[in-house]
This record gives sequence, structure tokens and C-alpha cells, in this order.
Amino acid sequence: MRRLLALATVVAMVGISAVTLQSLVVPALWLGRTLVCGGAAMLVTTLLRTRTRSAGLPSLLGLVTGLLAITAVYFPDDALLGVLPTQSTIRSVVELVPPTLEQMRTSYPPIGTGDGVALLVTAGVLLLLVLAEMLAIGAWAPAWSGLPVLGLWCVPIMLGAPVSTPVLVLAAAAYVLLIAVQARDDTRYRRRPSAASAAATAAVTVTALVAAFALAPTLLRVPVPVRWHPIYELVGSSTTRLDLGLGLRDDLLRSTDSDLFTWTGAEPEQVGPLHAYTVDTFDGSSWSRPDRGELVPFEGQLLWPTPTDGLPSGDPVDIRISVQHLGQDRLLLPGEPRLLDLDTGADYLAAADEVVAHVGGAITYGVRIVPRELDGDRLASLRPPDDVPAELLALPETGYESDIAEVARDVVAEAGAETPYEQLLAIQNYLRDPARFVYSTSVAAPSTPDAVWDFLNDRHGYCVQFATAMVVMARTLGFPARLAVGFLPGEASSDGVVAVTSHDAHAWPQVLFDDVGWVRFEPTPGVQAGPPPEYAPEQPTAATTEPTTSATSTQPTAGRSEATTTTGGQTPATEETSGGSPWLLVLALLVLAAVGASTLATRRARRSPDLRERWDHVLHHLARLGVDVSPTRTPRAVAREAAELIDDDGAAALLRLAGAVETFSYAPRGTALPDDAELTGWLDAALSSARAAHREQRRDRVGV
Amino acid sequence: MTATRPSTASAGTARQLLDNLRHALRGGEQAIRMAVAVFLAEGHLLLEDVPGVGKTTLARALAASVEGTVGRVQFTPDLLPSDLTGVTIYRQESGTFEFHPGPLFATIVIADEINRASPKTQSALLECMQERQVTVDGTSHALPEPFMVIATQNPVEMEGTYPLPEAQRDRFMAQVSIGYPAEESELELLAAGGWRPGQTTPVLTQAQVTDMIRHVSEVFVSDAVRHYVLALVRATRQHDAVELGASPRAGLQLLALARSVAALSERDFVIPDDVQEVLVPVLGHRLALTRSARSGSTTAADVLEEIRRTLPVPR
Repeated sequence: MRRLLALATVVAMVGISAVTLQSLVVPALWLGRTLVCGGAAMLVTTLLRTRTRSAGLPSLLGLVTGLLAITAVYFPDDALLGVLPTQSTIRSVVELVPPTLEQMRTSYPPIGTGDGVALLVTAGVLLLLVLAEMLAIGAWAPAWSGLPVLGLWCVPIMLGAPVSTPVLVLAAAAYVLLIAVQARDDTRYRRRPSAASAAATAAVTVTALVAAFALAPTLLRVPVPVRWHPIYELVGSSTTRLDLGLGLRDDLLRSTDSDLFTWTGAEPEQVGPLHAYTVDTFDGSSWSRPDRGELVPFEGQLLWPTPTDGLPSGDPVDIRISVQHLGQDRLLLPGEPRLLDLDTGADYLAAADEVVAHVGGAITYGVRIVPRELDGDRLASLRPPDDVPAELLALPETGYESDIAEVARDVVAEAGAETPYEQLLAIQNYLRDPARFVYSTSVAAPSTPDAVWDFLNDRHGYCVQFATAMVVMARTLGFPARLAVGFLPGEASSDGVVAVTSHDAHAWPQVLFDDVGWVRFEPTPGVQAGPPPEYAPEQPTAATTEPTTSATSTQPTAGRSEATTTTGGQTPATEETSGGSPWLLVLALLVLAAVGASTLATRRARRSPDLRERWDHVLHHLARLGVDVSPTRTPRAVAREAAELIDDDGAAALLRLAGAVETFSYAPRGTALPDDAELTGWLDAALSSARAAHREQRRDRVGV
Repeated sequence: MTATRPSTASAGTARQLLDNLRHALRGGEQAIRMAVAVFLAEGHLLLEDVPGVGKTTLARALAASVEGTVGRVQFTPDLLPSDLTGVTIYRQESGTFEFHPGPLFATIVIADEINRASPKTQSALLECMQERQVTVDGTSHALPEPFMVIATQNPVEMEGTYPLPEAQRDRFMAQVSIGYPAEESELELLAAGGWRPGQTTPVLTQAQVTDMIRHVSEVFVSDAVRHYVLALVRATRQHDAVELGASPRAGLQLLALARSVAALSERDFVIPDDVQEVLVPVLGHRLALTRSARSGSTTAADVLEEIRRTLPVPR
């Protein structure tokens, strides 16, 4: 009965934990098949456990069963008799794995297709399930069974995928239940709660409750100053893979300065930044990217999200982009209407203005940019479209939306801006003003739940902060805006080949206008991001005279190396704010007090071992031997009866223990008891003898 | 067993005394133990058993093991109280009345077949047992210290006997029977021959006995055990099969004998096991069962065993 309960908790724990993979792989792909394979393995394991005491053998056979089930489920055609793997099965697996890995590397989660992915998930879950079961039930070490489960949790955590809290709570509950069900009885740790330990428990509980209900909400509003860097970065080391969970709280970390891709055919100014993704959902501290829109197969058409008919366009620019290692399934695109010259098939996602192509490696493709003719006069006459998706105007509910809106209105009013274009320009130039904002790769510790509000006050940040601030401010004024993520166009070299490195990773805001569609603004200061677009000059009054010759933007390299130097010496921003939160101090004191009280109570409890409790535990074990342990019997009577049933050493220990119990219960107060070590020794001896006798009894019964 | 600190001298002497009796009686371990325990608890013992199992031997061996005097009276229907207590005789030479002490004036008095004497003589004996003094012709004479009566009676031979009424039996601290010896013990007995006076030599001086008696009275009884004794005694009064339950004196004697047994086990505190051990000896002869219980051949021992089984042990 208990074994079944334990099995149920193990299965629940692993199963619930496996659900965390849902943000990476669509459950429909693997859940059913994994249940079948895991169920078969558990059935065999459990049946075998009733026959043998070995910990590993049932698990091994269970694993084999699971593998057979996988063969039957995934390769029914290759398998002999439908279950037995053959050579061709193995060949199929070997052939399936490399493309699967490539797919996993290049797809943006959740992955919704591919038997290979499902196979890997099933195999992994099966292995961990068998391992957890072996530890928890076979080896009687339920606590250790958390390790394989932790492995399961590591996958989404390491990949930075969201994990739902209820799932975590449920898995943890199953784990705790498992420990409770399966923990080996150990008498030494079972005692009736003394007054002191009850007090300590109460103290700890009260502390926890205070922390949970009083401090936690406060701390949520005042985010924890201690932060560590997520392992993901804005851009990976050697691929163009971009991280899209762009967090405004994280310092910008850039590893190597390696070339990611090169392109030829034009000047960087003509091309502008190349984006891979656009994101539009912001929660106050980081961006996320919901699945949206419809994929349209690319068949040589001009790619632009809005109709381009009748748009005046400039001279086409032809470039050729050569990516050494495309780390995602999105091609890099310039921010103007363009035609692609592509060898492989691809899909166009108009809503996000992204081109999806599963390449997973080197790719070279041509792009013909058909630039729109944008200038201040034309833009000044345009308005945002009336009918835009709500998410392009959504503001994070942090409680600081109105403050940000007020800043935006002030900025606009100060600049005397009237048209939407002028207003946006005012915001861009407000953020670009080196007297106000400083480019920095490290960000200050949060002081409010709203990272944009923090940035507007702290005024230090890098492109993500600048761009996000502009997006949010634009949205507060009613302009549909989003963030584009990609790369700066890099710098031209003498041979005409432009190399783009990981340092060129960039993010910038896009604002939607009538007729022309998405328009880029560049709020990040020139030292880092180069000059703003020609149509969005820094000095609106000074017309567009030579915006590229401004002092800051001529030497982007120098500026960048400066920034890198700052990065090198940076540390997590803890020191700056170590004295920051009084709540933290209070919490620390409370925890210290609770720990102190608990230690004291434990020590006191240890000083007077409750022999009765231990004896009760012994009685429990003796009862299993068939000894009458009813409360009408004296310790001595019980011990004498039991002594007949267990081996001599155990019997002697048991009688001594009974004697100690008598002394404890009936002798005058203050009578010396045998010391704790001695008692424990007797207890262990008696218990192990009782267990041995019990096992023998059972074996005899089975033998009959 | 552990953690006892009886005065080693008394523990040793108690062991010696027990060994001495075992040697004399062979078998009847429980009776020996009870006899010694009752002696140390300053009570009186009633030995009830069939003839020939060693009642008298036990009594005489105990008497012989202790330095002191032994009085032995064979009770017969024509025994008079004065045969026990002694008489006052007028001495013509001195012209005074002189008291001649009877057999009661001894450390250990053996009253053989007490149920054969007339109720008048019986009650005289029992009164002396209780009062520990003898009053003859208006003068009280204190009995020696220690003083113990070991009475024997034969349950089988009912012809011409006067069974002790319940009230009288109450004066005996305990009633035990010796029972037939085990096979080996009986074989030993056949090999060695029966016990003869003179085989046993005193192992205890008067002072040692006094010391041991004091030690027994100092054995610790916890509140829990006291409550247990009380619960046992009260349970006898409420039991359906019992006409007359145990008296408060019975409770006192139960506790006293439990103390004594604890001391014999070389423990200086009473545990419930001690109380259980002396339960039937102390209460068995005091309970008067209802007629229906008797006709159902229920014995007092059965009732007490049932009570012991149902009453939770204190903790």
C-alpha cells in the first residue's frame, strides 16, 4: 500500500516536473507517448519490486521495458514484432538525432513539430523517472530522488524559459509527500514536541508568515538588490542567436568580439541596422515575444508589412549578406522594404516583419533594399494609423505608467512639438541628450518595479534601456511602437566587406505610421549606436545638415572600446545598494532570531531525551513482530516477551532499554539515566534485531 | 535492573536469605519470594495448599534462617487462646502474679492448620497479629520486633475446619500456595531427602533484619504507581463478580509488599511489575466473589488477572 503511494508520488513528481518542458516543446508532441513508455517501465519495475529486494534490478528491467516501449511507439515499422529494436531502428535513431539537435538549436520555442524532439523528451523523462523511482523506492532514499527531478527542472531554467509557479508548487508538494511517505522510520528523530520546540516552531512559522505576507509584497515593490547575471546574453558568442527575453535589469555582457556575419555592396549608412526579430510585449522589466501572425511562404515578393503601392521609393541598394553561423531561424533584414535572393525556402511573418528560414549554419543571401523616401516634411504630415493591434499600445501595469506619461508630455511640451513626428523626435532627442543620459553597459539596481521609470531616473543604460524607454514613452502618447532586435550595420573596411561582430548587437524602437509603415528611431546615443536616421535628426531646428559628422558619431570604435573597458571592470551592482533596503535587514534579523530560538530549543530538547517517545517507537516495531504492546502491559513484560523473538544482542539491549524506561518513568526525579549514546546504542540494536526478526517472520510466512 | 542503589549489604543479605530458603524447599520459587517479601514488609503470611508440599518446611526454614526465636503452634479444635498468648500464674514463693509468655512471643510464629482451631482462638491470634501485643488479664505485653505469623491451612480437608472469614483473612498481608515442585526439583528432593531442622543455619542477625525492613520502607513509590495501586484496588470494588472488594488496608499492604518485592529485585523504586507480581497474593484472599461467580468456578485470581489486563499501566 505504502509502496503504491510512494510510486504514485514519484510518478506525480516526475510527471509534473516534465510539464515544465511545455514552454520548450509543445506537450501534444510528446506527452501521450511519454506516458505510455513511462507507464510500461513503472509497471514492470513495481511488479518486480514485489519479488526481489534488489534496488537496481527492477529499475534496470523497467528501463529496458521503457526502451522497448519507445521502440514500439516511435519506430513501429523498423521494430521486430513491433517492439524489438533492430539494426534499422538503431540506424533510424542515429539518423534522427543530428537534425533534431539542429532543429532544437534553431527553433524558437515552443517546438511544435518533429518526432525526433519528442523521442529525446520521452527518452530523457523515462530515464529520469526510472532513476527517481530507484532512488525513492528501491534504495529507500526519497530525498535523493529530487536530484533527477532537479535535472528535469534545469532544462527550462538554463534555457531561460518561463516556468509556471503552480507546477513548481505541485512538484515540490509531491516531493515532500514522497519523503513523508517513504522516509525510513528513524526513532531517534521522533519525539513528542516539547514546549520549547513547539515555541521554536511557532517562532519559525510566525517569521515565515510575516516574511510571506508582510515583507514579500514590500520586497516585490522594492526588488531584491542582489542579482546575478543570467547565463544568456544579448547575443551568443559565435552565432547570431539573439536573446529575446531582453531584460532591462541585466547588465550588458558581451563575450567575444568575433565576426558574426559580413555583408558587401553598400555603405553601412545606406543599409541601417538589420533586425532578426521584433518584440512588442513588455512587462515592466523585460520583453517577451508571443507567437503571433501568419506565415506566408516567400515567393520572391517585396517584403514589407504594410502595402507599398504608391509609396515613393529611392534607388534600390543591393547587398549580399553572408552569415557564418545563423543561430536562429530568422534571417537578418534591413528596416526598409526589400526583396530577397534566397536559395532555400522561407516564410514571411508580416506582423513581426520577420523572415523564417530553418538553415542552422552558414547562409549567404542577397537583399535588394527598396528604401522609402522618408524625410521630416513627409513624416510630419503623417499620423499613426487609427486601427492598430492593442499590444502595440499596451503599457506595463507597474503603477508608474502615469509618471512616464507625464515625463513624455513634459518632454514634448518643452520641445514645442506638435505633430506625431515632432513629438517622437523630441523623445528621441531627449534620450540622446548626453547631458541627460549616459550610455553604460551596467545598470543600477532596481528601485521600483518599473525598469523604464528607473532608467528615466537613473539615466544610465544601454540600447535596450534607451529603446525600451522610447517605446514606452511613445505608447504613453498613443503611438503604436515596438522594439526591433538585431545588429548595427557595422563598419566598412577598405575592401568593401562590412564585418558585423557581437558588439554590434542592438535594439531600437520602431513606430508605426500611416502609409509608410514602421519607422525606426534611434534614441541610443551616437557613441554607441551611431547617428540617428536622416529623417530623425538630433537637432530638429538645424535641419538635416551633415548629421553624420557630429563629434560623437565619427569615432564609434573609440566610443565602443571605452564602453568595453567599463564593462570589463564591472561587478554586479550589489555594493552600490548594499545599505538599500531596511526591509532586508529586518528580514535578516527575524530569520536570525528564528534560527537562534530553534537552535536553543533543539539543544534543550536534546538535553532531556524523551525516552518514552523512543520506547513508543520500539513498541511500534515490536507490535509488528506480534508482541502484545497494549498500554496495560509494562515495559518489562513487553521486553521479556519480545526478547524471546529476537536475537540475543537485541534482547539484551531491549531489556536494558526497558530498564531505562522504568527508571525514567518510575524512579525518583533526578535519578541518573544511562547517557544518550548508550541509550541510542541499545535502541539501534533492539530495532535492528526487531527488523531482522520481522523480515524473518515474513520470509517464513512466504515460505509456507 | 539498572540504576539501582540499594544498600549493598541488604541486597546481599536478601539474596542469601532467598538462597537459604531455595535450598530448603526446592521449587516453590514464588512462595519463597513472597514469604521473604512479606517478612521484610512486616506482614503476615497465609500459606494455603494441599498437605505435603512444604508449607511447614517453608515456614520453619524461614524462621531458621533468621536469628531469633521461633514459635510453632499446631492448631486443633480444642486449642484455647491462652495456649497461644500465655498465662499469668500466681507464684506462691514471691506472692506475685507472673506472666508466662505463650508461643506467640517469637520472631516468627508458625500457626499450622489455622483453620482447624475454633473461631475464638483464631480471632485471638488475628487480634495479636494486628495489635502486635498480647493482653492477658488486663496487662499488655508487647510482642517482639520483628514479628511475623506464618499460618498454613489445608483447603482440601473441609471436615471439622473453621474457614477464616473474609474479615479475618484481611489481616494477612498475602496468601500464597507453594504448588507441586517441578520435575527436576522433585527429583533433587528425592535424592537429597526432605528438609530437616538443623540443615538451615541463620544467615541474618536481628540488626540486619531491622536494617532491611527499614530499607524496604524507604523504597520510592512514584505518584504514577500510587495511582495505579489505587486504580487496581478500586477496580476490585466495581467488578461485577466481586461481592466485597479490597479494603483500603489491602491497598496499603499491596503497596508495602510491592516495595518489598522491589527491594528483593535490588531496585529502590517500585515499578508496576512489582505491583502486578503481588496483586494476586495480596488481594486474592480478600475478595469475596458473588454466588454466581463462584458457581461459574471463577476464582479471585481470575478476577484480578482480568483487572490487570484491562487497567492501563501508568507512564
